[in-house]
Amino acid sequence: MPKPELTKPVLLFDDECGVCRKIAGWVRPLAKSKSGNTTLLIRPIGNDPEELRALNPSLDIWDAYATIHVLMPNGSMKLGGEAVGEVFRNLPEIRWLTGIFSISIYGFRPFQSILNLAYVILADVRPLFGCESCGTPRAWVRPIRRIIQWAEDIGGGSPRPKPAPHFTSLSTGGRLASPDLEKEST
Amino acid sequence: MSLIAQFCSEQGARLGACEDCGLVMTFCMDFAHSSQRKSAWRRRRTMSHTDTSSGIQTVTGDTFSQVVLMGAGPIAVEFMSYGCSHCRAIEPALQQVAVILKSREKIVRVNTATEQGLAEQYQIRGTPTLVMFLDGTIVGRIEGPNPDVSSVLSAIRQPYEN
Repeated sequence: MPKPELTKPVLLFDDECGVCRKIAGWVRPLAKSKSGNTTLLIRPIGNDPEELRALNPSLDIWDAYATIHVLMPNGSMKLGGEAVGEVFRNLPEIRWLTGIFSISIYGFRPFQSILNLAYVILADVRPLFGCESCGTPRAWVRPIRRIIQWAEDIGGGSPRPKPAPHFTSLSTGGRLASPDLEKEST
Repeated sequence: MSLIAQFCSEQGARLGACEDCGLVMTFCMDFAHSSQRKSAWRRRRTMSHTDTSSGIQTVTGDTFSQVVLMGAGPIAVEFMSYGCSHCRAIEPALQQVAVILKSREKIVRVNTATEQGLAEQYQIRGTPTLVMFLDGTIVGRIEGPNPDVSSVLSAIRQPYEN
């Protein structure tokens, strides 16, 4: 497979996670400048490890699903909060805001650190907002989810069956990705 | 020497005694699990997932019949999806089990996101599901095993030991 040359940063998102799909849907129109040019390519991770490795040889598909990745045209990758910052930098309407993430005090970037923390929290709480493929929530999120489920059950819903602890139902997490619909040409 | 004991003895002198008694062997597995999970994860990161050096080959609808149904001996098929977090959790353990069983059993994977026909054919309700074949015939299956080496190893071995 010939190596595609990246001319713009590429944001990879988890197409099997409802929250991630929604965020990607928000970002996509923001990544278009007034002239209609796209400043950031947004594509689902998909299911082909080799296809991803063609974009960046050090990119592992399991890692791509574990945390947000932005692939840079120079061959580097940004992960987690750094990737979110890079996405902001490539959105024309809020680019002006992103200077604060570069502010450094004796090597410490306070605003970038806040962004990193915000990303970690968002990634952890995704199961509360409809991430079908996120699996078992982290320990600190589980009590919150139990309370929400309990409140929903009290509110008239039928008690939901307890899911198997290490099993993702195919009707939710294992759906077929549709890269052709959302993949943009690189 | 059992496979577990063999695996433990390969890990160094401290674990060498595990072949003598089951109790120590259990300790050995727990120790191996806790101490090697990270190293297995690091090792996995350097492996190609379509590379058979890890012991886990990816099969598709085109190759399933040739590799699994016409394959001789025990073959465990993991029905998985890359976007499934439970599959991600089980992956390091499965890689270790593949190394332990390398000479005796074959482990292959089927991506249910791209191979929905196979998933329907084998009535896969979710991922990860392990289906054990012996000479092309299903002898066992388990859904969502605990993501640790001993659970995955016993899940894969059990149908062949019965």
